[in-house]
Amino acid sequence: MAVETQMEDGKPVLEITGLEKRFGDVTALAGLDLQVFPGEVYGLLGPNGAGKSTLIGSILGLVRPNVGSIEVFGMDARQHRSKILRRTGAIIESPAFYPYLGGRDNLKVVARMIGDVPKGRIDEMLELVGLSGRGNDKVKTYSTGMKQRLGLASVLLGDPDLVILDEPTSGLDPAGALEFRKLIRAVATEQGNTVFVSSHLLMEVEQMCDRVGIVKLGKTVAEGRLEDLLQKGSAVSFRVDDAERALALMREKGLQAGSDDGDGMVWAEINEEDAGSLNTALVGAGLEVSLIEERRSDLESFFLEVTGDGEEARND
Amino acid sequence: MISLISAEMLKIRKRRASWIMFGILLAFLAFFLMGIRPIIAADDGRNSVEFQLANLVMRFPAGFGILVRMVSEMGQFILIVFAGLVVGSEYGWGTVRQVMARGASRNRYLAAKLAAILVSIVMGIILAMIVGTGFMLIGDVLVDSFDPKIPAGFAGDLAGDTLRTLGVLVVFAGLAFCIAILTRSVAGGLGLGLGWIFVEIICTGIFPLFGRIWRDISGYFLTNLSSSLMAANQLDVGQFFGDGGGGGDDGGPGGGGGRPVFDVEPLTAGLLLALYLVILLAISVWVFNRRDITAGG
Repeated sequence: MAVETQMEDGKPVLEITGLEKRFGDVTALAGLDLQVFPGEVYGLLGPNGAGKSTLIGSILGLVRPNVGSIEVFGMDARQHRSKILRRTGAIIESPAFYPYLGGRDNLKVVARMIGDVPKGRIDEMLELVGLSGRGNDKVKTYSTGMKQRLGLASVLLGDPDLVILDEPTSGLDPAGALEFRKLIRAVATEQGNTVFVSSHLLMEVEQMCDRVGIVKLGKTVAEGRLEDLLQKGSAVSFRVDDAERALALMREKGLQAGSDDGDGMVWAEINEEDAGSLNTALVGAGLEVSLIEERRSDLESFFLEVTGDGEEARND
Repeated sequence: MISLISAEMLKIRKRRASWIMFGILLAFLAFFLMGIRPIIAADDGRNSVEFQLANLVMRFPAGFGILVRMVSEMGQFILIVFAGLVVGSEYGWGTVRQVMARGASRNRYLAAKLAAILVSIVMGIILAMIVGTGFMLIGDVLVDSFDPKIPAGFAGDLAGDTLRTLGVLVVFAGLAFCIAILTRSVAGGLGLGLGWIFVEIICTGIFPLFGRIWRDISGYFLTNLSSSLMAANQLDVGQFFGDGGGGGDDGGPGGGGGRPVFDVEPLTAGLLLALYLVILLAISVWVFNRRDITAGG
């Protein structure tokens, strides 16, 4: 993928260091760090109340952090807010529009705010998101999916270098969500925009993103390429005739091990290269091994592992 | 900045509520300037005192006194609703966050909103004057009293009266603007804005019961300062009746158009209204800049 060559080679488009924000007694961000590189789709994953919307609000200058720094395009976000936002398009939570205006007029309002939007760009964006036939209809008649698509059109209107989307598929039906994810992916791959997406949907992040940051209680608890993060939790599974004995042997060797329910599968957290010697040890102990396979953890397991139960309820 | 103002104007122009409020004003103007005289003529005849009085104050160009007063006094209520909607709706729809996320500075955003409201007030007054003149002339034709003679100095008087009206309306728009920002809602902006006016009117009625000093204090309410400023109007209805058109020289509540006029000189009233406006806008800017813009505003 073309974007991969850009990722992590250049300076980060967005770099956040030690960000803290408190609302009264509630700590929304507690020293959050992350980096987003040019051309990638970065997924910010966290349970509800983890601080995702506060973080996005801070990046956009809507929320003033108490401590920490935010650099966008190498500029301090507080000092160069206007310059930064001229190169940024964002939807915070759900896209907001003037309901009494048509889709086209809403984009006209946005275009006047941004300034320097080329003639014809509005129609181009309506076409891109599949709303050219409904551009003159009032937004209050739009479905949630249409509003999300119009939101994306408004974000892309100024041809931003950085696109920030907060829970972009929230409220969409499965088909609409899938279509929207494809659209976001296309924005990065075809138009070359860097995309920063927050979501609490694991599957969504897994489908869309090149890199992921996981936040919990306002802190980044894991960050990296999706495949690297999943690799970190990798293990090898063995199907054996006596799971209990196999587990005891593995634990004797000091390995993290466990068993999947029922079918005699046991696993140990080892590299692929060590699978042979462990197999030899199991066979040497009189166990019959009928299957050996890599046991990659999925994002859900990884997420639960790094966030605990992941559902600490706090206001975002 | 110009593009921000034009975005605000687009939102105002395309909003039905803006036109409905303007339509309400026009409906009242039509009734008073065009409709009342034919009704009185039909009921009491053209030789009746009622008709003669009505024709005296409502015919062209004397009717400009009523026109200006109606624009000023009805405009206060309409502007509270209008400015409350223009500012408060942005919070209700969540669009204020999207606008801020587009890179507009908070001060520029507020300035653009204020400028758009000011342009709307000016355009509204001009349109009301033009349409009101039409109503007046049609009314004259309907009761056969059409006589388009314009007295000397009329244009200057009308310009002065209209400027005072503009000043009053801008202050009331500033009040709704400030309250909508403080409450972050349409309901708050409208409710507290209109409530403010009603409380002032009630207090103006009650305060004199507690003595002279309380009555004098009520003279510094927004609504009463507006009346004091408007008392300087040269085309006011009061000129036909000799009570209050000249600025409340009887030392007590008076005035020709319904609201009492206090001892505050028009110039002082104008300056105090300007001070009110500065304070209201300063509060708006300070609060808007200081607050985080989170979900729901």
